[in-house]
Amino acid sequence: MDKMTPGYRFFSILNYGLLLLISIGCVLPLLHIFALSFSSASAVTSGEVTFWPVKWTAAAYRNIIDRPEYLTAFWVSVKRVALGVGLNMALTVLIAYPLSKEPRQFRGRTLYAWYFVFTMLFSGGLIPWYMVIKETGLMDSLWALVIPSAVPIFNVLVLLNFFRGLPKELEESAKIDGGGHFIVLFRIFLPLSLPALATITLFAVVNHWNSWFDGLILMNRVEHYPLQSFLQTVIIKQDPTYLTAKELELQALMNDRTSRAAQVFVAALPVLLVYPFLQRFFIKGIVLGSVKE
Amino acid sequence: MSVGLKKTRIITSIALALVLMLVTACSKTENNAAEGSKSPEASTPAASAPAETQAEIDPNAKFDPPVTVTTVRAINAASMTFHEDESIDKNAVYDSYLRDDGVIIKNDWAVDVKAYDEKLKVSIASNTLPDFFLVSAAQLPQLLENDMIMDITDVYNKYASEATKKVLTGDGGAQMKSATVDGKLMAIPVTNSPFNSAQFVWLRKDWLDEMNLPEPKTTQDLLKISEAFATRDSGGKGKVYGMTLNQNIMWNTGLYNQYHAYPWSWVKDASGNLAYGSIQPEMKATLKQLQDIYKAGQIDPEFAVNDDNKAMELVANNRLGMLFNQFWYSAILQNTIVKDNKVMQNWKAYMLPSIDDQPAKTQVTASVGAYYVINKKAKNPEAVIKLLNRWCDVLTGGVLKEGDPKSEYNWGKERKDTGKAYYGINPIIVYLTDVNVQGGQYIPEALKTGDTSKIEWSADLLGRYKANKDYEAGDLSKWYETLISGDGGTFQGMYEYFKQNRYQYDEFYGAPTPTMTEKMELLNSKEKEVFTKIVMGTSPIDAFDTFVNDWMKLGGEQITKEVNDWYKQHQ
Repeated sequence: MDKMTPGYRFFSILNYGLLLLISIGCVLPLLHIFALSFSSASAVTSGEVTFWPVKWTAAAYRNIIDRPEYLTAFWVSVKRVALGVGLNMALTVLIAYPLSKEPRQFRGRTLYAWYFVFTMLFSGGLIPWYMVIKETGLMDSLWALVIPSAVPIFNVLVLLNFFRGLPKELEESAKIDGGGHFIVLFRIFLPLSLPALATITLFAVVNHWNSWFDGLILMNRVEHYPLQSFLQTVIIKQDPTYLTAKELELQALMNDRTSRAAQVFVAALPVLLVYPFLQRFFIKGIVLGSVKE
Repeated sequence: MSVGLKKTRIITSIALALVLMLVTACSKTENNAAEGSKSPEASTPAASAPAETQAEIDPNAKFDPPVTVTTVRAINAASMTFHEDESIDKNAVYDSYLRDDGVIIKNDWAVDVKAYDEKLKVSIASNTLPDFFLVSAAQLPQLLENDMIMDITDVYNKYASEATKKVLTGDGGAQMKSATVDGKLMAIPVTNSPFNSAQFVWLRKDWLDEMNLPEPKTTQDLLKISEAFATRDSGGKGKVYGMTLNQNIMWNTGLYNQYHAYPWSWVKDASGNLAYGSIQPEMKATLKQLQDIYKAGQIDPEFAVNDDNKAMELVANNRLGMLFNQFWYSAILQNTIVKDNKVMQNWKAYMLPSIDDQPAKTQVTASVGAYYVINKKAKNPEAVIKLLNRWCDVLTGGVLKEGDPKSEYNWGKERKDTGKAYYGINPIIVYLTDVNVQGGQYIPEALKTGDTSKIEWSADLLGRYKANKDYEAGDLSKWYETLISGDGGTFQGMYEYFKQNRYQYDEFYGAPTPTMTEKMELLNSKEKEVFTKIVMGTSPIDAFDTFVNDWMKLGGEQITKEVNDWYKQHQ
């Protein structure tokens, strides 16, 4: 970094400036929602709120606590993430390990690999997907949200390639000491793959937390909705087809932007919080120096 | 080596293809088998129906033992209240149906009204449908085409009560006709008042008084008002506009109706054929006028991206005093205008003025937005008709008595008026076609004299009467209701439109034609885009003529032909 030519300096300023702008662009909408959720309803309706709450009040959050549906949906989402991510990770690891072997070690590896990749490229479509879930009796249960997405192929590919990048000598040394595949996987591969595992865990958490469409289609009762499906029904604009004049009238009276903002904010919070906790696993170069060639 | 590889590849792909064929073949035979086993089942109700009807013809008889019917529900918090131990599956209203009619209602699923359409689409596509359910007008043709719903002509004729028939044909029969295909009744229309979509111009009355402006008698008056409003000072909150358009430019029909333009509806042309309102010369004149007003800075330049919330910000900051909307718009204004126990602004809804000596008509439609249909495989279609009978009885059965078990259909298990809405829980709901017009005729009168005898037959009207009284007694949360059903309110306007014969009906009220289903969405979005651009001056007014040509070419011609074919059949 001691070569600070004027050109390099100019580039740095421009680069950091641009990145700063982009990151501000990402934060501002969230800040706006945050400001709305803590402002008084009258300040919101007259458009006074931009990025900082006007006339602080936590009334919207008290509303959330008073809404059993919201808390129920939140709990469903928590269960879904716990169950779904656990299942995702277990299966990802167990599939990625054998597939990371050379074909001479594991015959038919290519066939298996294609078998998985095929599902990434092609799917049966919405209706067959729905029928399968219905016929297998998963409908309206938590399992319907977890089992169909139990094997995230993309994550498998990420982990598989990471495994391949690990020095073969480490595996061989374990073998020499009499270790089997499980020892190699759990005592050598996994501890060395923490950055990759952290990444795909994050993918899995975010994916499960944010998906809403499956909940909307597969759940038969509002009480079984995960949080994002529930939020979708709170946020989107009503299509008046099924509403009558009387209902439009009643609906108009219920419009409440602050409480919607609060609900969105609370829903975004857990994922925001997960990030810093996983941050410390994003360490580079852990295998550096383990093998001398 | 490479040859060998190629060979294995070919063999694999052939094998794969074979496997796929096998799989599809298997699933097909399975389907056939399933259908085969189901078809005799499906024919039983038809076979047993005549036998049953001979045994009992009384449409009011109770089922003993009770029968179960399945349905799916859209939950709308605005019209449904559940007590702690109640849910959409178990509640006082459902219990009442079992008690009075011997019908057990079972929900296959029940989701929020906003998720209903999506969920229903999948249910239809996968053919997992309940005995009866609510569908939108857009979905009805699909169900008919796939032969999934029952012809209910006989069952309706035998079991529908007099009250039911009266309610459903209250509009002269057009709404029932829209559910009839080749003389067969295929669905129960969710009858509703065509008058409800009448438009009004909502104005800041306090500004009119303050600026000594006359109430609008003609469109010229209205243009002057808009001009005058635009010169006001909001006190540093930003520029004041004369009026705003709805984000969905298609919603402001009242605005165009003043110029005798009837966009998005079908009108009779000079030769007696139906023509599309949006492409008529009157529409061009209206757009030209709007373009001029916009150029003069009287229309909010951001109208095309502003939703209702943004419009309310303008209202809250005293930057807006004129809007075109339907009778219930005061309910949207309520939260903005009534603050800290004070009504901050005085609004009033006026009937549409006209650009010339011909009075303006407000465009309405007799078409029905949604239908109840009965599954072809349903075993007890007559039970569904009984649910309908019960609802129509509640609708017209007169004033509810506190403590009467029958009041549970409207008041829930408390059996008294608690101000909460329960009626939405009823599994089949249709509406009277003219209840709001009658409200306009009788509520203001009743408010003056205190004599409620003319509105006591309807719990809805009586509720509105009471809300007016509450407002007079100082309950400001009922402010919106006085602008609806009070003296000079929109209900009275709806009645006046009716008396003066100022409803312009959409001449086409059938199910969407094939080309409509395919092309209308595209045409509508193009139209919206072109009209918005013309108003904003980014396209010259002559873009309208180009649009008319494009519209015809992009499927409009075919749609016009189909609509006219329909029209000839239904005359």
